[in-house]
Amino acid sequence: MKWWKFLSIVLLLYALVVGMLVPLRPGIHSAQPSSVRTGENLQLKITGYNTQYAKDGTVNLVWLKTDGDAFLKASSVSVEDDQNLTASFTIPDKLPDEDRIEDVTLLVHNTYDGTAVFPSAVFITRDSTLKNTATTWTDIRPDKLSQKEGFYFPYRNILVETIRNTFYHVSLWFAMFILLLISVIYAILYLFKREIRYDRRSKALISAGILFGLLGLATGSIWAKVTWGTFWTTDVKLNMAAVSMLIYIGYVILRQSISDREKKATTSAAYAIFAYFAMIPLLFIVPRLTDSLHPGNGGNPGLGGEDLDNTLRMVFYPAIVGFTLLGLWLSDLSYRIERIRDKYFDLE
Amino acid sequence: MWRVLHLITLDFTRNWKQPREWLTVLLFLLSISVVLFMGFNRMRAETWAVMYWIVMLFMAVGAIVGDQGAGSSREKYLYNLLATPVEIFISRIVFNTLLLLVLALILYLVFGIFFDWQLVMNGQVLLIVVLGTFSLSVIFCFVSTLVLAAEKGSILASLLGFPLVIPVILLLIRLFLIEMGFTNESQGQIQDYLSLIGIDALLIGLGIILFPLIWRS
Repeated sequence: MKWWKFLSIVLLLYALVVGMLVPLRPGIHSAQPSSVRTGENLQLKITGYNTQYAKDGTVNLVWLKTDGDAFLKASSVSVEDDQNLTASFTIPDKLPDEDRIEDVTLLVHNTYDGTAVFPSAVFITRDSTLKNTATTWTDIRPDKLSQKEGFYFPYRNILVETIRNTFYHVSLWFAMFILLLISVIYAILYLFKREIRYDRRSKALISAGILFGLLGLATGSIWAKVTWGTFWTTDVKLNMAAVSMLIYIGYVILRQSISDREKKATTSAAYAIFAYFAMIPLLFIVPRLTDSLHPGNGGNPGLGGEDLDNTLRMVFYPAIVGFTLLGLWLSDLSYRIERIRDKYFDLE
Repeated sequence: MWRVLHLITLDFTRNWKQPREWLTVLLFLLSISVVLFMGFNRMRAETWAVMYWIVMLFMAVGAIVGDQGAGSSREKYLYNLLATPVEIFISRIVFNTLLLLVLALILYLVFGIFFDWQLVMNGQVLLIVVLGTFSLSVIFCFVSTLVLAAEKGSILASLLGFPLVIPVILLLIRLFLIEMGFTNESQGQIQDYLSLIGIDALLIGLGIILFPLIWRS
């Protein structure tokens, strides 16, 4: 047993346990009503997620914040239980940026939970009549805002708990790309050296890559059901991913239909190179050109930026390494089976 | 270069003397048009564009992949003595593009007559048709040259070609609808053209690099 096989098990167990057990940072699930006119009184019912609004000794502070960094503090806050509270505001007559409609961010600060942010929580429409309200927007930034200390995954609306799928869906695809890249290197080696073991390696790696790709499609599809509401969409990225999997399934069919060992190896090595170079533009160039819902395409944020914060990275990167090593292990087993089979049928 | 031209003329004379292949494809074209006419009676613009390229796809399969099995093994042997694999690949792309282009224009005309459509035929539409036939013939020539070693190579070639055809056909349908004015969406056509040309360039490049390696023996 080689050390890297242990490493893959350890890393995947770590990704599974930590990825599933670490809680999400407290966040705001919803706020009602979502629109109001200037000069009105707003009774905002706020539902929190993983929050402790009613814990003894906490002080809950609520603000509305515009894009231009103007704040409005809630005049009173009444707590129902840990997840529900109601904040009362009197919206001033004037909007700070003189817009007709302004969407404002909701901030809830709690001594235990830190500050939770809910972007575009309320839309404020300018009313034509002035009601001479006493409140005004202030430019002074509240000094208490801070995130909760400790190891938590970030809270994102819509994603909520499914943010954990980053460790499995995304890492499976990463691992697949690495495995297929190594298979291409072996295919090129075969074409130049003509040794049958390179062909076996290439084939074994592609089998593992196809398995990971199909698992990646399945996890992605489940994720899409939760966040987008449907298992499959007409999205370019999804369909091009399916097409590249079909191209690789073509590889398996191709190998089945050539009986001469030499010809099989040569043709499938050429096909393996072709498949990889066809997959890269399909997955990375075509989806970028058109609109796509998928993160990382069509102007959506992907990896990097604020979406992948440090706590996610601590599980995400080990998961990629773990899945890659697992794939190498799988392909090694399949390589040895193939070698024994060739020996048994006296092909060497 | 001269040998490529020579191969193309050879292909032309062979197809002229034995018109079985392109007559088969022509028969397919006409019968499928009758079926579509009787089945749909009146088509929406989207259906029209999709059907046009689906029929083109199957004509390409019939013309290119079927063509490969036609020559006798003696003929193939002579071919291989005459030219390098890359030359055969290039000449087949050129010949099949021209053949498919003729068929595409006939199909356009037949569809126009059957569906009483106000057909637009300007430079842009012609450009898409040329680019489409070129892409289809590049894909199927690439795949059918790749699998020459396999038994039942023609079935295998069409099978392996299909996944790659999906993005190409989707791009062509989108471009068709935009250029004929059936959709309001009119952004990013340049990128679609570039994607099509990119896919073709990729396949031709890979073919030029890979085929000498496959046929080294």
